[in-house]
Amino acid sequence: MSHITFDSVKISYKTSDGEVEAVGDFSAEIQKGEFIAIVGPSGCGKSSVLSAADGLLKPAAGNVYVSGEPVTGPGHGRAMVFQDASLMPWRSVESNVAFGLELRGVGKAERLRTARELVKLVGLEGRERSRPSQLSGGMRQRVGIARALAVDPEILLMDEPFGALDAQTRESMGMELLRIWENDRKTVLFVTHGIDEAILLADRVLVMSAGPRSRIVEDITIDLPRPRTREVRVGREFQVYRSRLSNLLFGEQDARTTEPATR
Amino acid sequence: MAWTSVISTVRADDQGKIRERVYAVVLGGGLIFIGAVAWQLAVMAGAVDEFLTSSPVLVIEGVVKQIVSGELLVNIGISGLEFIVAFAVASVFGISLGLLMGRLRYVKYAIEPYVWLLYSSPVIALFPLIVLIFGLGAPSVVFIAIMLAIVPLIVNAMQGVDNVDPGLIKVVESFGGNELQLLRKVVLPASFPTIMAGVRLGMGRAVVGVVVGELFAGQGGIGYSIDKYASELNTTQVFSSVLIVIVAGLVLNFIARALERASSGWRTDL
Ligand SMILES: Nc1ncnc2c1ncn2[C@@H]1O[C@H](COP(=O)(O)OP(=O)(O)OP(=O)(O)O)[C@@H](O)[C@H]1O
Ligand SMILES: [Mg+2]
Repeated sequence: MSHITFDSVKISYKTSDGEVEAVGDFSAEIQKGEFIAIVGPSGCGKSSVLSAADGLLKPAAGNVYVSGEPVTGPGHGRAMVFQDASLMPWRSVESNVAFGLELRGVGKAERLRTARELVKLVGLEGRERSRPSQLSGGMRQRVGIARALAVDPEILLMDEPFGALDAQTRESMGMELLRIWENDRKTVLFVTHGIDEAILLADRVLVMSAGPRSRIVEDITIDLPRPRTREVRVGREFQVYRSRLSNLLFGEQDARTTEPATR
Repeated sequence: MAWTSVISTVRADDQGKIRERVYAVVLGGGLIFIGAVAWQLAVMAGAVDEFLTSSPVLVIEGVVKQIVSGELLVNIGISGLEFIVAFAVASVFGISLGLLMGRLRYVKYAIEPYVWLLYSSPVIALFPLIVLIFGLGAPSVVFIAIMLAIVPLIVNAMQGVDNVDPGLIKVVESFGGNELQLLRKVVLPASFPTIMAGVRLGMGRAVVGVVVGELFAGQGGIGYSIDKYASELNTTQVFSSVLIVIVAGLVLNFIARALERASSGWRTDL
């Protein structure tokens, strides 16, 4: 059985000028331990799909299933990493990392112990007591990742976690995420704007069409050996995936008018 | 030499802070000081009638007289108690209501018009009606102080909640937190500074409410004294009492700030 099933998920929003169908039909099967990247033009509904997977919003039609059970609300098996980290500015690093555990009623001593381990894991040892305002953007994002990992979720939902970082930091954060992920291979849904990032990290890249009524136009399996290093980038295969993805994304307008149903 | 070297070891931003404080005190207090000196000189030169205008020296003497006679202590006891009751009730109701209005849109729709009504209506003008209901004495005084103090408490609490980063609310939802946790761990700490600003504003208005209330309906307290002295044409003691109220207001504001600083610790607590 797949770990996550998107079964014809449709997502619509009520706006001042009526209902807008942002995501028309999102269907995908995701296996346990898979690292999935979701790419697509801005506003196509990537965040919406992630929110639906987390249970933060209810699809207008269709369903998300996790281990066969329909998602009805946020659950313990999933944790989200947000684009802007969304840390509590009045809390220290370790207290932010412990936040999810705190909400779930884990005792102070235990959640602090877990939090410190994770702070170490994401490479922020020694900054436990710092405030988010004293950290760089990359460090803040590490805290956000540590906070999600602290509740030991089976599924990690990441919404452009490195989107606000500069290219260099972004790449090293990606490699570090892979290092952490190799430890226990959680199922990951990773939304990104970066084509390179998607290929570098993911087992499969789901390409969405532009909204409204967006859908998946391609499901590309990235057949590159793991553990991956920066070196895969210079390989020929990488370049092939790369041009295929950029054709899909930036040739979108043409692709849509000439061949509406690629899959 | 030694002195300059001490100064130079003070960190630049500390130095800036000290300079800022000096400016604040000099600019804030300077005008009053100049006014007081001019007033005193005018009286001494015989330019104005001391009986009608009193003088800074007389006013200070009047305060000392009130302290020595024990009148001050009794007045502060009465007014202080009225203030505490009014301010406590206004804080508890005002902040709870404001939080509720901030979280629940329909509660806001239902109540907000009355808050602005209360804000812009001349509550003092309703005084005869209030006295009719509560009678002369402390209950009327407390009631009017509550009416005056509650508005900034409500408005600031509501605004504070409105301005909470929606991303943080999403974090709580995503981790499966409930409404109570959302309130305690995000909404309250995030809106804390705004709420505290409302507390300080409400405090000032409660002081005014108590004094004005006593002026009209009190049976004791500082405002009552002001009314009594005014009817005796004792300008000096009227000014002395007003000075006491001003000092009390400043002290309260100082206490509020100290409390704010001390209590911001719990926000960061695990
Ligand atoms: N709360 C909302 N109310 C109304 N419309 C919304 C809301 N949230 C999203 N939308 C609309 O739904 C569509 C998809 O939004 P979503 O944020 O999921 O896109 P996205 O792919 O994550 O975009 P980006 O790449 O810019 O983050 C957009 O057109 C957006 O305007
Ligand atoms: Mg998005």
